[in-house]
Parts: sequence; structure tokens; C-alpha cells
Amino acid sequence: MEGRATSVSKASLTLLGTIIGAGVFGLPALFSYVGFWPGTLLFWFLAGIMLLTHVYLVEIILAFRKKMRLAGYAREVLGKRGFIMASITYPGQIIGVNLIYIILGGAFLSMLGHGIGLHQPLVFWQLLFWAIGGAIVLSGFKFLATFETIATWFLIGSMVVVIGLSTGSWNIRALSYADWSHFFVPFGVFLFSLFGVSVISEIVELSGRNREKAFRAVTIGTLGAALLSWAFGVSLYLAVGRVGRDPFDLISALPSSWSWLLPVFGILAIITSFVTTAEDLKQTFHFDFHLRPRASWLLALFIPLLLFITQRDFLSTVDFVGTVFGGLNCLLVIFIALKLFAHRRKKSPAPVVWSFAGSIVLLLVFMIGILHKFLYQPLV
Amino acid sequence: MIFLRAVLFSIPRHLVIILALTAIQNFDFHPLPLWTAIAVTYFFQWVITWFFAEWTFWHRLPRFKEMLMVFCIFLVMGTLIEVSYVSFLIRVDWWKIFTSVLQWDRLYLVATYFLAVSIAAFHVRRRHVKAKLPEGLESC
Repeated sequence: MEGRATSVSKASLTLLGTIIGAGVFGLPALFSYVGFWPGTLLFWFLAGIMLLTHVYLVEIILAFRKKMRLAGYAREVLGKRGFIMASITYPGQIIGVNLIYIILGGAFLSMLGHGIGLHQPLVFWQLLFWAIGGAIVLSGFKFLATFETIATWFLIGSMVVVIGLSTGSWNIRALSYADWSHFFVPFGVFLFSLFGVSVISEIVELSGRNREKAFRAVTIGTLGAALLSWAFGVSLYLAVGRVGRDPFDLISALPSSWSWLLPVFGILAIITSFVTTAEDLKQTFHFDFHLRPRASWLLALFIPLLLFITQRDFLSTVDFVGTVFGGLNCLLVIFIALKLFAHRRKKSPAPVVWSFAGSIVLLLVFMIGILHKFLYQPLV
Repeated sequence: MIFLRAVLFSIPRHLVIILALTAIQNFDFHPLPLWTAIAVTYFFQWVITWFFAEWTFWHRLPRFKEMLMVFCIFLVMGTLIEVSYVSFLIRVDWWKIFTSVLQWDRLYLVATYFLAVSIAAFHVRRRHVKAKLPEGLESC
């Protein structure tokens, strides 16, 4: 009984720690943009959608004995076209995430630098963050990745402290503001902050490939991360009021003696994640695209930097990566699940009807989200 | 791979040097004489260059040619980064800034970098050679 509890709790905590990351720093600005009620409604709707996507991915992983990346499952179930699509969307998402880390990590370094009197432009700190992160990646100091879990926990701990500290300056009247005409604008940022697809295979392994345990871990992890992220976004929105595009704005929610808290733990969490995702990107180029190790390193480090030259806005990058790559990766999961369920339905029709109907709902949500972003709404 | 490492490591190296120089400018050396501030500046540049050179050579037994290559990359990349950064900050033509940094007193800086890279290469080389020696011969 004890072993069972341990594996489920460890798996759900791993998922929670992975989901909570750079995306949470975009939430207060989006709650401030659409207001408390529209934001909360969309956020929890998407939390439910992501939970269902994670559950479907668990089903997909359990259907195969071999451990694979998303591209591997796409090749097995959807064939060559699915594999090609996953080979574009998965690295695309990692490149986008690394770009977000450079933008946000540099902003945190800049906050600390200004705090100790080192005044340099923001772009200097962002380049410094990339350069130090890149040097660590190139050195093969993989031990840093072992600190990722600890750093993430410090970030979560500091988020709880920040929520507590910001309650003192809440403006409850802000709850009455609502802009329903822009209800769908936060789609990308909310999706990005709830995205945990990349870690689900690890959750299944931690649950001992037991369906019931994996479902429970995924449910606790996804909803726990959603609750903490929502509380962070709402409390900072209520404390700051009109939150701008700049992560600097969030510091004003804290008493001045505590203003170091977010940047310090933010940097710790982001530099360790940067090292891990850059390594993942290098492996993707090396194994999936069969490039040489040196070329893989160069691409993994310099593609996000080249993108950084053209795009340095945190919020619109999170929005784009969340909507386009997050949405497309979720769509891939749904397509794989649909085909898998259709195959199973031939054998035993009754238990999979709900899964089939759920897949169609998810498919529609992600398609509407992506199309709406491109056709009707400018990126935030 | 050493070429790639040297190119990449020269970027954080020079950015950290810029930060160190900014910190020194903010520091009040009074009542110490001016030369102490200059000495501290050179010392910081030496330490930072030595640290990044050690990091560049870390996994291999550096040869003399590789040491020279790393030194040249650090020097060229450092100059390029410095000139580009100043040009970005004060919006002045890149070439004008480049010609203005080519002064004879910069040779002291070049010597500082050479010293730092060569000591780092010597240190890493000695560490590797020591690690390969049979037991009991480490003190030789």
C-alpha cells in the first residue's frame, strides 16, 4: 500500500513540477487583459482539456511496450505523414521554449543586476543568459539537470510565498472587470502554462505502467499545477492591477525587501530547464534527423539565438509557441488516440465510445483555438 | 570541437568581463591611488580569461597550437563583441569604434590574455598528464 502511494505521489509531483515553468509569468498579464471571470472560465476549461489530452497520451503510451518520443508514436500509428508532422512540431516547441527561457532568464538576470547596481540594457542580460547556458550545455555538465527538480521546487515554494505576500496589496474591485469580447485571446498563454505532454511517458513509467495509477497521477499533477498557476496569475493580477507585457511589472506586487525572491528562483529554475531542453533538442537533431553531434549542438544553441534577434517579446512568444506548437502537438496526440480507439472499437465497441467522443471535442477545441488565433485575433 | 568551444565560451567570457568592469567603475577606490583600480581591472580580466580558458580546455590535453588558437579566438571574438556592443549602445559607426580601440596600450591587455590562456593550458595539461601517471609517480 505504501509503495503504491509513493509511486503515484512521486509521479504526480514530477508532472506538477514540469508543468509549472516559464508560462506562469505570463498569466497575470492575461488575467489583467480579459478580467478575472473570463480568464478563470477559459483557464479551467483549458485545464480540463489538457487533463483529457494527458489521459489520452497515457492510453497511447500504454498501448505500446516500446518507450518512444511523440514522433515515434506518430510513425507507428499515423505513418510517415504523422512522423513528418511530429518531427516538425516537437522540435519547434522545444526551440520556442528555449527562446522563451532566453527572454525570461535575461529579464530575471537584469532585475538582479539592476538590484546590485549593474546597469546594462536588457538585451545584454539575455545574451549573457544564453551564453552561460550554452557554455554549460556544451561542457556536458549534465549534473546541472539533476538540480532541475530542486530548482523547480524552490520556484514553486517561492510562488506560494509570493501569493501569500501579494494578498496584502490585493484590490478586490479588479474582480468586477471583464472583457468578454477578447475571451479567446489568452488561449495560447494558458495552453502553454498547462502543457505537460513531454513528460507523460516518464509519469507512466513512474506509475509502473499501471493504468489506474497513471490516470490518478496525471489527474493530480495536471489539476494541482493548474490550481497553483491560476492562484499565482490571479493574485498577482489583483495585487498589481494593470499588468504590462514586461515580467518586471510583477515585482511591484512584492514588498521591496522581498523583490529578489522571484528573480533568484526564476533564474535557478530556468537555467536548469534551459540546459535540459537544449540537450533534448540536440538529441532530437542527432537521433531523429541523423545529424552529426557537432552540427546538432550548433543548431540546438544557435537557432533559438537567431530567433531571439527577431523576436524578444515574452508574452507574444509564449502565445505563439503555446497556440501553434502546443496546439499542433496536442492535435497529434488526439489524432493518434482517435486511430487507436477506432482500431480498438472493432474489437470491443462499448468502453471506447466516450474516448472517441472526447477526442472529437478536443480536436474541435484545438482547431478552433489555432484558427481563431490566426484568422480573427492578432497575437497578444 | 575545441574551436567550437572556444568560439562559444568567448561570448560569456567577454560579457562577464563587461559586467566586472561595470562593477569596478561603480566601486569607489578612494583613498587608494588610481593605479590600484587599473591593477584590479587587469587582474579581473586575467582571472575571467583564465577561468574560461580552463573551461574550454577541460576535457582534452591541449597542444601548443590549440593554445594559440584559443588565445586568438578569445582576442578576435572579444574585440568583435566589445566593438559591436559599444556601437549598439552609443549608436556610432562600427568601423569608427573599431579603429578607436586599436591603441598601443591595448598590448598590455593582449599580454594579460595570453598569460591567462597559456597558464590555463599548462594547468589543464599538467592535470591530464598527472591523471595518466602510474600510482606512486604523481609527485614526480
